[in-house]
Amino acid sequence: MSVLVTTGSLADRALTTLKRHVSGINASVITQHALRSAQKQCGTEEVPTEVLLSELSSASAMFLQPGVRKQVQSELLALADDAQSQSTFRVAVPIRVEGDLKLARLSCRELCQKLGVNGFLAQKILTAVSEVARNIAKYAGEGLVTFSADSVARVIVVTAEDKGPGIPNIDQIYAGLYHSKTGMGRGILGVKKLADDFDLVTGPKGTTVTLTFTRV
Amino acid sequence: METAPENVTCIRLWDCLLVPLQGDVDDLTAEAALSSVLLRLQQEGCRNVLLDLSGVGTLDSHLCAVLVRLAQSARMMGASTVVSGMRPEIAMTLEAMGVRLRGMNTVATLEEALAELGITRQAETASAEINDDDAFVQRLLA
Repeated sequence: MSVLVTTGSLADRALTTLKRHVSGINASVITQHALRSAQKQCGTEEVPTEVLLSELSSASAMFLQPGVRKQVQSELLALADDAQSQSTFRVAVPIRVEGDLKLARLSCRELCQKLGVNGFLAQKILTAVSEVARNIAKYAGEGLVTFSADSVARVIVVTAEDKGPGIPNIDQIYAGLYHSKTGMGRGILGVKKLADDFDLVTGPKGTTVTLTFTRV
Repeated sequence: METAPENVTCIRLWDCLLVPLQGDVDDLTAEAALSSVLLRLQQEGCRNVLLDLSGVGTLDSHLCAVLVRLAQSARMMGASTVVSGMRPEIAMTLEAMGVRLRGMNTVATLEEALAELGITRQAETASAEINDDDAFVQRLLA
């Protein structure tokens, strides 16, 4: 069971770049390994661009043909020149069974602490995470809950995505007409009221809930 | 990993059953609390269940539903339920979600919960036996 953490859009863009040359899984492995080495080297979560790029180069070399290595290296260097978009902090927690909810709540709590988000806002986010993660475990069997925040943590986004059967009576739920055994309409209505912004897309192929919390 | 009913703390206080829920209360712990309480009620016939939530991290709609079931089942066994120690953030969140804890009274502190049941600290009376010499002398000189 792993919690995936990516810091900074540079890591994401490096991932995209690498995926053009190696498989998705290898690209993830390379990026995560490089990130961890860089963090270990610097002793911090946020790492300077040069260090990350250097680690990425050495990590990817193992997976690339000699002829391609130089090409990838220059592509990676080019990323550093791109205008830096606002850095984001992202944590992803895979959800499969109800036992995973504890990890989701713990990760969320840690993230809030790290971002200096406390009190009512933190409680709202924590509760919303528990609700959407529970729905995944209960109805979809497998899914992913991610939290991301901008660098000043003014906006926190929680997404819950799964490839489950979808929510067939979502309109009923919105209207407050659906009452499950728990009496809460799958917690969706509650979560809708908690979040500052709520988006839900559902169908037979899966469901994605996107919640936005704004700190004033 | 099953939480056996014995692993949930239930403390007997006269005719009350004190249940202090702690930390991250997962689904198994919630169910264990429910069975634990009902078992103790059956064994000891307590009239009141005091659920203290001051140590609880998150209260989502599912946990609320379990607590409602607990209160309803306890009532069927002749006991009423009082909830105490709910943190303000949790109270605000439940209110925002529109979730109500039906079938139970809610008070701020455990002291209030006990007071409502007529259990308070006994005040020291003048005729109380003084065992401490210093206290005795102080009384004389006061």
